[in-house]
Amino acid sequence: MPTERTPVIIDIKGLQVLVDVLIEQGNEVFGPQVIDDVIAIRPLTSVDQLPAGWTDDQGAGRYRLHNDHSHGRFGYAVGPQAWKPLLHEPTLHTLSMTQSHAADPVEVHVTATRKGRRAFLGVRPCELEAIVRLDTVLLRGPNVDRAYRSARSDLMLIVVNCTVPASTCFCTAMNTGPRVSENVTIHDLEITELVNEHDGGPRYVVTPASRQGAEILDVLGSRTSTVAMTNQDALDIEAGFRRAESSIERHVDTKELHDVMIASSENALWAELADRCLACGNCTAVCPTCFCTSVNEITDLSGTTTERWRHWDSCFSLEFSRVGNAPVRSSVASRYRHWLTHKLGTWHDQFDESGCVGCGRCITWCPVGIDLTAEIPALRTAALSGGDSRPASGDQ
Amino acid sequence: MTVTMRPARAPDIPISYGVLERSDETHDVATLRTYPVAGRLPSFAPGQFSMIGIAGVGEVPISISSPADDDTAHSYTIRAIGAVTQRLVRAGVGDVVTVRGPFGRPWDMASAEGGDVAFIAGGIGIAPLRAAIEEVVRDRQRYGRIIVLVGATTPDNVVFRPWLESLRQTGVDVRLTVDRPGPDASSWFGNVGLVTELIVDAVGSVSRVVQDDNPGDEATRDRLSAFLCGPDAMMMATVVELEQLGVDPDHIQLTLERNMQCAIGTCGHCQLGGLLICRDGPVVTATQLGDALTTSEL
Repeated sequence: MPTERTPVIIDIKGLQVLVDVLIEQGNEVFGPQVIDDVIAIRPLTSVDQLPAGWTDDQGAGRYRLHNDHSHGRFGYAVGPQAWKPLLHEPTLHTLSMTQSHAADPVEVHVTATRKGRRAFLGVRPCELEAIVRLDTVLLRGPNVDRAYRSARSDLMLIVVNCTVPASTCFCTAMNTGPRVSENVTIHDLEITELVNEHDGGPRYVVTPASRQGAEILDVLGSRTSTVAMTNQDALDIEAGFRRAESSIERHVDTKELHDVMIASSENALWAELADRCLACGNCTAVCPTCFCTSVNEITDLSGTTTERWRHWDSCFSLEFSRVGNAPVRSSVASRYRHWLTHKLGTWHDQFDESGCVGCGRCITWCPVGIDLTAEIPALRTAALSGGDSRPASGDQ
Repeated sequence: MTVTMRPARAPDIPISYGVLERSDETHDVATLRTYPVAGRLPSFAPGQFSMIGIAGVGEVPISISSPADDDTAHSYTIRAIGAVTQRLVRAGVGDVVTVRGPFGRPWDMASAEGGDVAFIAGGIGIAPLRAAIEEVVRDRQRYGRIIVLVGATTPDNVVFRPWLESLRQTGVDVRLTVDRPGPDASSWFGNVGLVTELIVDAVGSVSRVVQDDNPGDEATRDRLSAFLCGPDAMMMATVVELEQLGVDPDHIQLTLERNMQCAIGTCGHCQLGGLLICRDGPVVTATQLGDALTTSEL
């Protein structure tokens, strides 16, 4: 940890110097950009690539970008994908096996995991919390996922706090934003964008969060003009967070939510949800904490060489729960129940935290607009009344 | 129940074991006795499983059915159900299979010491119990009565029948039952019906005697430990039966199967409610299990 956490303020040129310094130190820098009409995470060398003036209009089953020509570079909430694909790759070659004859030992060549330093610029607080969740699953269990361990090492995490939440966000309910929590310690720098439309370009309040972050900030100070934060800046920042918090429309009551989910296994709501749910798995693909994978083996025609691949999988697929020759969860109702109960309930049993960070992606990217925040109240009411089959009525 | 498990050094990398011996147990069940040909697995405890496979076909979770005191050669009893198990069951002597493991929490044998022990199996469920039964029989001065109840669909589908007969010779209370005695009914001298129907007679008498000696004494209910393996429905019914007889759910252990793929708790496939079966199981107590098996499609 740094000896002091004094923030400094830089302008957009200073932000470019920060990117330059990160690149000079051998990092591949990734950041948000407008690609195919969405905010996507891509390699970044210039602050000109950032989504200047772009903001996102999100709702249940709806996502649109529009440019309001503001000076901000981070005036959107979250894009469809968090940083998960860079850390827990959707498709990964894990090993090859060679065996010429059935009686030969199998030669195994383990695929080298990725190497090299990286810096992620623009990680949202909810996305940082999602990385904390993935760390727990893939690094802290009895066994470690070797590919994830490589992806997480030599990584600088630069958080940009959220000042313009989308209507699908509910981070305040999950305690994951819009400002990074003091309880999270895996990042290196915390940045807050200050935009004053009457007063030139955006300014960035940069606070070190690790020793590495402090060192970068020292280099930055020697390369660009930084100014100290004034009392007025501090007040502006606080006002910005209050505005962001009060603009968050969706809410989830997390009180005893684990118990509510466990008590809801026989609720008729699941069958009703299954009438709407397409079991497409979009929610699991965009969820920043969904970690499930499957392994496929592909052989050459002679059957001598086998390539073992690992892919993201979804608990909405019928194959997911197969035991012997039949799936355990054959109904869509049981698969939807499994997904939501895992996120909000059994994740606590397995990993001592919630599997949901309130980013709202599952709401936005659901093709039929299923909104978990609208469904949970019905589950809670039924669970508290001891009823086990209360039909859903959506918002209450 | 706290049993520490030792993670394998490289649990995601398969190593080669050769088939030393194979025996056909029934028309679709075979036991492969395997030995290390390149690298070897760490020691295991009864109840743990390996991911055993054929390169290019895939791998499946199978409990090690041989006694744990043989650290070198491991036996796997496999029923041909899917693509991988069909190939494994056809493997010949000398063929090389891949293994990773051992994984999961083993049977907690220590908690059963000093009392009666019942092993209750359905079908091929006797295989994951075999190493535990061998251990109890070997250390039998540490236990009271040893009861083994096995249910199968037909007499031909009773796995390890000669071994079960030999257990009976050593004084173990072995009882078999089948759903259908089949055309050779005259040659079947065992029971007909569900394995749960054997429990009251075999197990209940033990609990009753102990409880009559010491009515109201909580400790006496701990005198029987049960170890279960079989289809979910069979285990569910067995737990209900045992609990009705006063057996402490902490002393009822079951081994579960879900879709284990990574076997190291990171792929998410083997969830059963709050349990990751490869990590928190495959052996769990009836207390840990709660109503997970009675909730449909969990």
